[in-house]
Amino acid sequence: MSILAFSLLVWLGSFSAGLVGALTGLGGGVVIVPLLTSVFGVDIRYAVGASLVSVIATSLGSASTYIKKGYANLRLGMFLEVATTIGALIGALIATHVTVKILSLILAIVLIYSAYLSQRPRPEQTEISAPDPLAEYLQLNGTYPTSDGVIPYQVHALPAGFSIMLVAGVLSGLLGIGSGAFKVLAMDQAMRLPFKVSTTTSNFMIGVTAAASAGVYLTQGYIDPGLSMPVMLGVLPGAFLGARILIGAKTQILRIIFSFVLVVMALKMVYNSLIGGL
Amino acid sequence: MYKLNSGFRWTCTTQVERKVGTFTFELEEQDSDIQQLEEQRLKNHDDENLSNQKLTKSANEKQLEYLLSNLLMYGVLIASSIVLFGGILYLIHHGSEPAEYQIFIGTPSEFHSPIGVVNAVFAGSRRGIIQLGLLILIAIPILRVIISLCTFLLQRNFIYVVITLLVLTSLTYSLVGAYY
Repeated sequence: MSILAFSLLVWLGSFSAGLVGALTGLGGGVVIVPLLTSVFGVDIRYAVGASLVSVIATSLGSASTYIKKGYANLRLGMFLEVATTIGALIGALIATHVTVKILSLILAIVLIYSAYLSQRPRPEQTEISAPDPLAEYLQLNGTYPTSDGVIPYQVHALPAGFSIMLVAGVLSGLLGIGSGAFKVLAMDQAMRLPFKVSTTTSNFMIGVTAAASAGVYLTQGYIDPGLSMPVMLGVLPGAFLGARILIGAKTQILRIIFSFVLVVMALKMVYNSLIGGL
Repeated sequence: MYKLNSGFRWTCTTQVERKVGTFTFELEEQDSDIQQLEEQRLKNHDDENLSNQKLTKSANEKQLEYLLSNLLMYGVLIASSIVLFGGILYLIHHGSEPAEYQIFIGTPSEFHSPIGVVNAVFAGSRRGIIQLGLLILIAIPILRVIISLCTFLLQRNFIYVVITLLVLTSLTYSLVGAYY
């Protein structure tokens, strides 16, 4: 295949991935790596590099809008970024030392788990309980705008949230994904933040997390300009379009389809790495 | 607490803006006396708005949010324009060559460091231009952390100065430390 045809196809695939990723809230990054490896036959290391770059782009783009609206909690983001950047650094360093086979298997597990998480209902925690003293000390409790005015919220279980973020960071560095699913898990379930705050703050953090592993990838030669170009230029407009459509769209069916695609891709990766050799 | 106020200020501003809109619309048919009166009223509104802002500590925070938001947006736009520009040149000149990403050999070593990339761009490398755009993209979140650090320093919020420094250390280590 010529570079031109290859770039156009990758661009199309990345655009769709960005669109569906934004619509389902799972993020495009989680599909880019399996898409590039199992559909286009790209080596996973190039795929991880290109995906990471696109993850930075979409995170920065959407964070820009969220910050203006006042949803994202900048302090909480900065505090948790300590965990995610250290994790990302560890993840990227591990990635340069393990075999492609192991990387593929880990990615497959993460894909299936992300699919499972996206199917689970997200119960909104509303009851007011005693706030975390550590969160109070770090001035993390905040407010966010809703249609009924500004509502205050409190941050719970900071150590648990911090630990999950460390894991999310490792996965991000290892696989070049944003691991938004895990970040939201930490913030929704453990720290019990409102949806809008958790989703936007997590999105805000992904850029910095990915930048931490990007340096390692760059020096290892994982970030290839020829491949990253169509991926980044595809995911970015796709994600923006998805975010536009999202308001008012029914995403339940889409979620189910998307989860199904994730599981199929994961199984194919397992099959490839176990049977196909390498 | 101050976040709450910032929200109030925000709704306040939108109300004022809406009023500005209707006022100017009415003004077109009215004489200058009324115009002055209306302007006076508008000015009062603005003053109220301003004092509201001063009451809260949020002006600082709001400013940071505004600055960061713009940095992110324009940064991404600039970076993707450069990538697009380099990409078009690259496809024009190399579009017919076969795509080889199946086997990992790693990118050429000049693409591994910022200095190498800049040199490649000056040497006329089209892939170098793309890589420069990607580097700018990676630099934006780092810049974002540096700006936050400065803001926390100005606010004398030393817990967060330390936290931000920790984040900056791992980012720097990633970019610099990985060479050794």
